[in-house]
Amino acid sequence: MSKFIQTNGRHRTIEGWPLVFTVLTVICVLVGGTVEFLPLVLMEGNIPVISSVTPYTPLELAGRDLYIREGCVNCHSQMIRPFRDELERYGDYSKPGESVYDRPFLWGSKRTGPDLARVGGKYPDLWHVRHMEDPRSTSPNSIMPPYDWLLSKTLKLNDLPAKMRGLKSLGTPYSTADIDGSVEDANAQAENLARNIAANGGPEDLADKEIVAVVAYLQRLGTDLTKLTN
Amino acid sequence: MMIVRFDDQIVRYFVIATAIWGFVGMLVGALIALQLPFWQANLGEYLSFGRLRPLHTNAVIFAFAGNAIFGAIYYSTQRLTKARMFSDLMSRFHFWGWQFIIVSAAITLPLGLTTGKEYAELEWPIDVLIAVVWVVFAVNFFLTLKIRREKHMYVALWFYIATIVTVAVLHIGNSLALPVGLFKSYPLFAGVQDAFVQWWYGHNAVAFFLTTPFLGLMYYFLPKAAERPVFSYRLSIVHFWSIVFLYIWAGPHHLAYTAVPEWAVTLGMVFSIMLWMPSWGGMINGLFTLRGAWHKLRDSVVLKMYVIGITFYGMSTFEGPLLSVKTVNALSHYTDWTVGHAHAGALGWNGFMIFGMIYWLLPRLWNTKLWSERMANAHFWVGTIGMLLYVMALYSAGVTQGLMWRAFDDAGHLVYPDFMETVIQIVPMYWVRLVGGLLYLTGMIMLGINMIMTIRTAKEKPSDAAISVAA
Amino acid sequence: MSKMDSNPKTSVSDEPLISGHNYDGIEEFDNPMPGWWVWMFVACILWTPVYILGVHQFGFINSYEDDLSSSQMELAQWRADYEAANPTAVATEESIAPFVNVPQNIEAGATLFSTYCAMCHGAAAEGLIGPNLTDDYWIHGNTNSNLFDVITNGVLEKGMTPWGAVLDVDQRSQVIAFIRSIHGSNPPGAKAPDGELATPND
Repeated sequence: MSKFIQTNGRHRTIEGWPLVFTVLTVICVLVGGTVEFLPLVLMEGNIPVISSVTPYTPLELAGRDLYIREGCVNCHSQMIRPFRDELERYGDYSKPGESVYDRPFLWGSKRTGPDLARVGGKYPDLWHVRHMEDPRSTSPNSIMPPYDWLLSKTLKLNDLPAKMRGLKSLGTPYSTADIDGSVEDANAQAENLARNIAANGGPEDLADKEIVAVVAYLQRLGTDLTKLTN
Repeated sequence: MMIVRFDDQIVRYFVIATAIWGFVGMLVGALIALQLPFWQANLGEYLSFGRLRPLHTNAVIFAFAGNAIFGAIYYSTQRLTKARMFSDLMSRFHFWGWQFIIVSAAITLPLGLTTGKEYAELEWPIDVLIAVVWVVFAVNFFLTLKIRREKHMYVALWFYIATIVTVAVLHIGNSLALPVGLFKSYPLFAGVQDAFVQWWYGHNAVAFFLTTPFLGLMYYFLPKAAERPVFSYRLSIVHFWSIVFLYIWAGPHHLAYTAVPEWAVTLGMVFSIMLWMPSWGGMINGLFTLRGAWHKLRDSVVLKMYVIGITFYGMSTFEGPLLSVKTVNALSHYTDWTVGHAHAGALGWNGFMIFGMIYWLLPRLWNTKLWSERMANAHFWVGTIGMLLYVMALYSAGVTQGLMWRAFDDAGHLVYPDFMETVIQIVPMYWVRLVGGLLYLTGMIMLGINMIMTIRTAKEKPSDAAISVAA
Repeated sequence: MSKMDSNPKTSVSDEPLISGHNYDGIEEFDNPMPGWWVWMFVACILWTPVYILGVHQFGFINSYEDDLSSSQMELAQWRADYEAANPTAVATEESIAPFVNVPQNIEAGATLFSTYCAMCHGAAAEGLIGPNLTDDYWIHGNTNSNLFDVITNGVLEKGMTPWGAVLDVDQRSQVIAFIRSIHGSNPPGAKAPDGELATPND
């Protein structure tokens, strides 16, 4: 060691060899990431499969991409930690197998608002609509920005087949029928949701608006695990 | 003998771009800091918090700090190698390509075109462009090393090498995605694996974009400004290689208690703790280099800036390992403590090192005197006070909220079952943080004014420095 | 000019400069690494296998599961201790009745209502997403214990949140006192009746 770093030691030699110096640096840099990452890919025991976890429906997928577009992840985590207070507040802690279809993962790094990993089913659909339109109407003192444009902007579904084909090639088990019928499927789910919202006294004309996709996604979050216990 | 004239024009470009983007990035930061306690400041679809926050982080990291480190590298590499940059054309491609990328980010992020991955939000066409520009930069840099007239590479160059190769690896690794539209892609990895790759990238963006190039910057500009030899060559060697080797492992500490397997987080934590001393090696070599030059601080705003910068480097690199300890992370994670930590590093270390460098470079690049030493001094104080207010506010907000989340009463119920109660409690701290941020921004504006006036008072067209070397 | 200024490089000590190390005028000292620095570094490295093996092999340091189960056991113990010290019988018609018509309970109930219930039932309980609570029609019965059960366990299929973990028994009884106090208030914008016509003591 001391021979290596002393004045005019070995290190002095490689200081004159930029190529060698660069190669050594690259090697040093690659070791850590490789050693940590390979087991996550190669060893299945690290991410136990949960049979009830299924891919997002086309409408949920569209909603998820809107959730990404609006940057919800900047303030809301989707990752319940194994602490008793989080179990009380949010429900069972998040399992590795629950996010196998999450591209990208949306665990977040900051909770300016509450965790959403298990928000699915916690509030009525109409609650979410009103909350997005004006957060303070359902949650007094909330600091969340309003997302009222979600109630007026038309939901675009025509890119769903391309998105689902992409996800399929990455490993999400969508069938060809799923992909071919994706727009129809999304429309049906959206109409269902919109009917329920209207029946509860909400706005009448939301079936082709972005908000229904976002609500569909939010109502899905964390519910795969309860399907298993029921 | 022959004359080697350096390309200082490219450095002037980068220095000016640093000041412009620094102002823009911090202005967006101030807006989103206002949006937290005052939701009415969310100005509709394109200017709401969720879309502007990535714009702020991208602007201050890749535009402000990015242009600064490129300026530092172009200035010091030419002098340390006694060679002009290999290709002026590549240098200019690098500069304009990078500015184009920044403008693309400033347009696409408010439009909601984002990957959703922190500090890597830009969609795939821009990612491709970043890779191309970075490779041109790397080729230009390494070919300059090849034509160098100094046999050995000084420590600053080691850090530049580590920066250039590692950022390339990280950027490409984390951007592996399948495009499904012009501005939409899905990452190659999902869930746990995607989370790991993201924080391997995210943590090492801090390491190799905000640490190693700044250490290189420090090793060049600090001894120049202090006119003192570097404290210890041996320490340079040991802390360089240990940083380069250890940093990469620390990424999973961002995922403590998540669904990522605990063994990975354990590795992230122990390597973070092993990193503490290597990081402090940089601080020691910086501060000890000032021995015998402390009296110069009185008259040198540049050195004052560096002392604050290096001190905050030491503080942040102590706090980092501390926050990686699982039980500490259990309290701090998801709270504003993390945001406070990031800003102690960004405002204290990166910001002040950049300010010090710019105040040192301005008179040299434009062959004149700094327009106002007094204003530079005022910048130092306004910036320091602003930064302290900022981090103190967020530390107290973070600890307060973390403790409230986990509080149980005697009956075994959560004391604050309603999340809102924990938010209301910290809103006053968000106002204090805004004041701190505005003070820091004020300092940045002072730098801008000083820069404009210095350039305007420069008598003639600036000329590039030259040295004579053996033919 | 002080001596220090005129010859800064030798002003600190007789540290050796490394000959041949001069880059654009920057020189380097051949100082050793500070001893404390080396030993702290070594200590951090030595601690690494201790921690890794402690968590993942020998178990003398708690893993996630260890920490969670011990803290959950502690929580259960707190609850048991509290229950033993403050026995709260399960709420019954008899235990809730004394809360009703008491102004301070109605006031406390009103505060709780606006925090937890108004978001779905409306600020004046006129009905919003959830039903109107001021009329004579009830979906899940109208006895005090019916109300208590719905508040405690929620009605998940209809979107009603369970509040049993959030509101203690007294608080739930106070909310009932408040609801009783606004019966027949016929607030503006009242939602149409839903459920069965029912009086409290059916």
